[in-house]
Amino acid sequence: MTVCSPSGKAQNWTPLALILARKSPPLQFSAIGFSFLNRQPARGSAHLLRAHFIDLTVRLYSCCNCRNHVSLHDDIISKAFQGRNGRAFLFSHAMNIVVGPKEDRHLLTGLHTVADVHCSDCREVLGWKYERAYEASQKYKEGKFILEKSKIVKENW
Amino acid sequence: MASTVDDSTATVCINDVLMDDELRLVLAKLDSETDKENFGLVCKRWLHLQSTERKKLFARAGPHMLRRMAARFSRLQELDLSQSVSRSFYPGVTDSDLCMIADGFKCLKVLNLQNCKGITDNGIVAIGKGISSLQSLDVSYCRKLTDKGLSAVAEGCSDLRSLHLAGCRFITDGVLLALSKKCHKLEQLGLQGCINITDTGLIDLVNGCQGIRFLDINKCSNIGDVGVCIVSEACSSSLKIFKLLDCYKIGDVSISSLGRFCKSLETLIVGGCRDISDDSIISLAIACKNSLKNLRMDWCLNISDSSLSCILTECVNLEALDIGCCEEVTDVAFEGLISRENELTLKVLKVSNCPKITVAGIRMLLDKCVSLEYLDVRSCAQITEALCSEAGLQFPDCCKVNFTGSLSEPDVLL
Repeated sequence: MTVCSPSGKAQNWTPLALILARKSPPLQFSAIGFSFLNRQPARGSAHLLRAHFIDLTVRLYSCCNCRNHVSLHDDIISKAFQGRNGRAFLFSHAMNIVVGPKEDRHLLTGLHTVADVHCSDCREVLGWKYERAYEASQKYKEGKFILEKSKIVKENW
Repeated sequence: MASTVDDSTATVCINDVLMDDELRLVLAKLDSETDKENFGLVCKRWLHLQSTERKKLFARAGPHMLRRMAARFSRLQELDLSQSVSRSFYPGVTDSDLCMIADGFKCLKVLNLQNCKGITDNGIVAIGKGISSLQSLDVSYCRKLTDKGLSAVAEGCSDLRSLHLAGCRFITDGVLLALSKKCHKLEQLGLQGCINITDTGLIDLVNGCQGIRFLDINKCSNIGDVGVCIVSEACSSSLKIFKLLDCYKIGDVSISSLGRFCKSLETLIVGGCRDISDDSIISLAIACKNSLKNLRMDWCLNISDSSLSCILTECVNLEALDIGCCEEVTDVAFEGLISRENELTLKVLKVSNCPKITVAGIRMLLDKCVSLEYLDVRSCAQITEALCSEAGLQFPDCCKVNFTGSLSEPDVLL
């Protein structure tokens, strides 16, 4: 069988791996077959039982407590953030998380509405979500997630 | 009724005697859905009548099913194919599905495609060209759409009353110009998060569309006083709901203009418009004292007691008020209520993060407000559950109080 290495980043990728790997012990995926050439699946769509060979090398972050998959490395916007206890990453998306109650807080960068973000399985607080920002320069954070580096672990990569 | 006579006359079948119109009348008199479905089981003709009577459908369907639905329910008026925010069945609604809809549902008036993230301009152009009877289109969060698609809709659907484009961030003023040229009956326009919209676009829009009742430009941060003033003048008699969340460039000029012209304004959302000060809010409260029902001005840091007390006194029909993070507000704002004779109609009050309001102020409010249903006092250091029960505060029976947690918020102020 010919094995081609995946072309380009695993962007707009979802889920077959996540669905498979979600509740089972971490599987070893290697670069496989043909990546999608024509049809990039839309972000957030789940397609099961398709006859294509798919690129399964996706880099996941998991909850430090229970290894629930919460984010993709490809969704990192910035690694230069400060969390409550050290370094934190800004993600455009997070999954399998629960968003807590909204709070208006004066942060270093001005007034924001933030909501704590918990792992959906074990309820460990992983970071927060920016709901709204007062300063124009901070608007780019709206709708995005801060996950603390100490609370997430790389899933086998 | 079949009339059976003696053997010399053939029995008459009701299907031969009753015409389509009469059968439709019979169908209309049936109340339960089960009866209507059973009506369609009688024979193919009755099935056809029942199917073509159907006005409304919610569906999740791929292209084959859509084709069959179009064939069966040819007179459909409302079609809801909206998907969920997060995951949906793959691939969801596609452009070819929209082409099928444009060909098959020629009487369609209402089309809901909210969160159908896969569709692009090609599909929407087909809708614009194929369904001229369309009155309401919702393509909120269909992120790939641009001016090309929506202008085609404006061009082809001149009967358009309601258009929702929230989250379509590639939309520019070009769409507003196209709407003003053809869609003069436009009443509802949702542009939340369409950050490329500017004052010029609004000016063009109200040039042609003066009957706008609902305008949502939340988070369109490029809008300024010029645009808002022109809108308030042009749509003065019709404008009822105006949403300007986080349009931080607008100021007192806009609010005064709204007060001067829009006498039927019911809902105004100006949260995050930091330049707004007491004077213009007072003039608005007085001008719209009878019409104003919902007012959201959270994060307006210059607001103080004078405007809040004026609002509570003047706006006799006020139902929902949000002054979160208006940190200058104190208990004094509620003192005007003491001398008030009639009850407040207020149902929803949000004073989160107002550190100067104390239990005393809430007491003055509760004395005159028995219809309160939701009170949000999060992050108010002087209003905690313990302090309230210590002071013996009596909340109305059906009132939910949000001290620290997340009660589900009423969406009247969103």
